[in-house]
Amino acid sequence: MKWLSFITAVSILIVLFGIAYALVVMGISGPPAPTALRALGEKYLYYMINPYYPFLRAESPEAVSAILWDYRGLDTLYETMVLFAAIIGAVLIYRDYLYEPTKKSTRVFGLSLIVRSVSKIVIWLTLITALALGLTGQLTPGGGFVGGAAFAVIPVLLVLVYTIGYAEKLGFTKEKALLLRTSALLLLLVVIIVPYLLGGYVFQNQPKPGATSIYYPPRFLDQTPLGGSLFFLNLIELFAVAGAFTLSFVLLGLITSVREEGGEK
Amino acid sequence: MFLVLHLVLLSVVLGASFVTIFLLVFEKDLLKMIVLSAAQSTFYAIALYILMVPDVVLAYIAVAVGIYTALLMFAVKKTERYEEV
Repeated sequence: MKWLSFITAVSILIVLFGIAYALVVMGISGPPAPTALRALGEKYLYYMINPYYPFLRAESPEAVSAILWDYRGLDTLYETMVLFAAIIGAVLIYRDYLYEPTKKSTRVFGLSLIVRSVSKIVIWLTLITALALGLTGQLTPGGGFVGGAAFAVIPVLLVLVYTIGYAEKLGFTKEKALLLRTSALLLLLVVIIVPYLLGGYVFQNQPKPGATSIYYPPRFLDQTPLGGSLFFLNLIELFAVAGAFTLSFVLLGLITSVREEGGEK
Repeated sequence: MFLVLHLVLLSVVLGASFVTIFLLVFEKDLLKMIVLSAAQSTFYAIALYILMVPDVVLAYIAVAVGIYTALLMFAVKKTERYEEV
């Protein structure tokens, strides 16, 4: 039995290698991927922060953030909305639990002392990492979604290592998460609409031909590039994603603890 | 020179990830399975880093190692820990 499974694994590996070889080296699905920079990528890198082309730049040294929130910003907006709809759908299933007050848990201390002590350090490190990823999204790889997803690890750890009662005592409540999630999405829409109301285009970051906006988002904060509206969009996205994941995990932990205590509805 | 080094590292990491999946499939303890899944995600994160996509790496670590692992732990908490044959 063990030998048979080993042979199966090796044959799967050989088939995978064969497919990869046929795709990349032999190029059965078209020409192989170029190793040099593609023409489109070259254009993005050239115009991104180039002061000689004021109508094409995004003012962000980070190409991915510039593309995500400026060149194809609407795509990211709808991505955020899809996540919002998914979380709302998941919450709707458990709507009976949403506005129910949390019972004070009898086990306030959760897992063992070792796990709790390690988690204390990890939670602070996660907080710093999440904020750094979200706030410097216009400078280094990262951004709002990544920062928010990293932030969501904190309530998960609190619920798993301590208890749901402790997490709620620290302020990670489902009502607050829902409020944060919804207000972040509304704020996102405000940031998108404001340039239009000022005479520019919807979702406008830097000057564009034909738009006579009276105000553009700041490009620098004391010599640190802000990327115009990219900084604010990343910040709002961080709160939106953090709120969404926190809501779903607190609800999940709550349902688990309610069922454990025999309080099945 | 660096291309060869990259390819060697990539194949080592992907091979390790394949071994992890092999161990995962034949594991009976569901919690150990979750840990192996997180280890496999870590190997994939290294592979993505070698393939020069730092943005994807960061999102992948947060989701695959953090959130996905926690979600599976919630699921295991609601069922039995050991898989019956």
